[in-house]
Amino acid sequence: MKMDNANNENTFLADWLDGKITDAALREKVSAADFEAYLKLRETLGLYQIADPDMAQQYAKIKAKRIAANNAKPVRKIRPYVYLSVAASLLLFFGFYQFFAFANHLQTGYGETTALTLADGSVVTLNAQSKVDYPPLFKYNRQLQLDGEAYFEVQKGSQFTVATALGEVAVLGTKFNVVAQDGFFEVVCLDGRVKVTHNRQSTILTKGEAVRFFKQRQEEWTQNSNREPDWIGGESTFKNTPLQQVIRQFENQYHCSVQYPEALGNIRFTGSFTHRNLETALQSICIPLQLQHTQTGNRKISLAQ
Amino acid sequence: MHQRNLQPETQLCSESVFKTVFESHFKLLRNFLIFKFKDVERAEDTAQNAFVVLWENCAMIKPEQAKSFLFTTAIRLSLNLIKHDKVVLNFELQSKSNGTHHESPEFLLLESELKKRLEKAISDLPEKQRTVFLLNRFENQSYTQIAALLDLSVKTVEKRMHLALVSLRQVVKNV
Repeated sequence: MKMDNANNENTFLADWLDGKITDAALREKVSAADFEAYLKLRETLGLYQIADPDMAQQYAKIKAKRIAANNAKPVRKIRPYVYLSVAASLLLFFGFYQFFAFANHLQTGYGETTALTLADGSVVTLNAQSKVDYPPLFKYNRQLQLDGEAYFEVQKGSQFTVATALGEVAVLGTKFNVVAQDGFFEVVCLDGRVKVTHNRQSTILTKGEAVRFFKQRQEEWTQNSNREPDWIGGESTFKNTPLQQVIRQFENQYHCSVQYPEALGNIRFTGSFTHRNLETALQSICIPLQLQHTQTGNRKISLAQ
Repeated sequence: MHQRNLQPETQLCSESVFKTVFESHFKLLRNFLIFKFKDVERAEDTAQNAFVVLWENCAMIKPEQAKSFLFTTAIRLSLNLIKHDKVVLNFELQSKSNGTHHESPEFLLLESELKKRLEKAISDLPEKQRTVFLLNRFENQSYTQIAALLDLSVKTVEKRMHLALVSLRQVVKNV
């Protein structure tokens, strides 16, 4: 309260000049002589102005200085050559880039996982039926292309980008799992931060967060575990995942084809299956969902409700 | 995508846009510097230099950012210069020529006496109070505008206005 008063006292003349308080209000705050003096002051100040500059002359001077500044920097004179050489080197660069980009290639077959240590020390673990392409100078251009599922442990450093047909994941240094298969795009962040771009929309995930894009829908959830994904240990784990994607993983692990009514594809499955025994795995999926499975031929399985 | 973003940024590099920016901001900048330096020549020189710097950086600045860039640059440029010796106010306040003054010669004499003393008193104000006070009185800048221009809080502007008025009041005391 006291503070307020002190502050007001400090600026009441400013308020008065601004019209926030009236002449009458000022009169109550200062003596008669002061009041007259302030009125006189305001009036006198109002009578004068400062001479305007000669705008044309000033502009001419600025132009002259601009030219002088230009001449002082010879670099600017050879600008066309600079552009030309930049264009030429860009052309050259892209030539090399096209030649070398993603020249390295790694692919896994059915039921196979592979780990790969990149030049910068980052580790990529590929799940079954997945492939990854990356440039030879990976240390300097940390960008790779992924189709399928992989788990990344990225060394700290410049931006690391995982490009997939369905979107992009950009990180600086962290651990995360990516699935990009048949219109199903899922990213789980296990440590650090990752930026997921899908259809030009970006989502930032922090430790324990996950996002999934499937059939024009976006789902986000969090998980407590920050262990590496289960599939590395020989088990596929799912959380509220569309059955279509679960089956797809199953097919990748056991190299078989599974037939099922289309309506079942959207059923959500939470649970896991082992990679070591087909029969057990099939039951892990079918029992909780109350599905019947029959073997219809060599490497052919059919599911029904 | 990139191309589209770049377009408005490079506008300032066109002569016509630059000229428009000059037309709309030069006078205020130059007068601010006059209030600061109390010296027309130095003020105009610094204001011109600020516009040259603006031109050199035209690719990076959007036209709507030009104003604050100019003021920041001008203040920075004036710091670079060695502090001038105490300059006596070398700008004169002109009468506003509305020609409707029918005052007696005696009154006019008193008036010009007061004006001279006022100019002296303004010149003697601390720089911070003077710039704020004159921007408000002669350039019709509101307290909020001044605060934005000089990167101050409105409260600070109000305090400086108040203190300036208290000082100037001494001049009128003996009238």
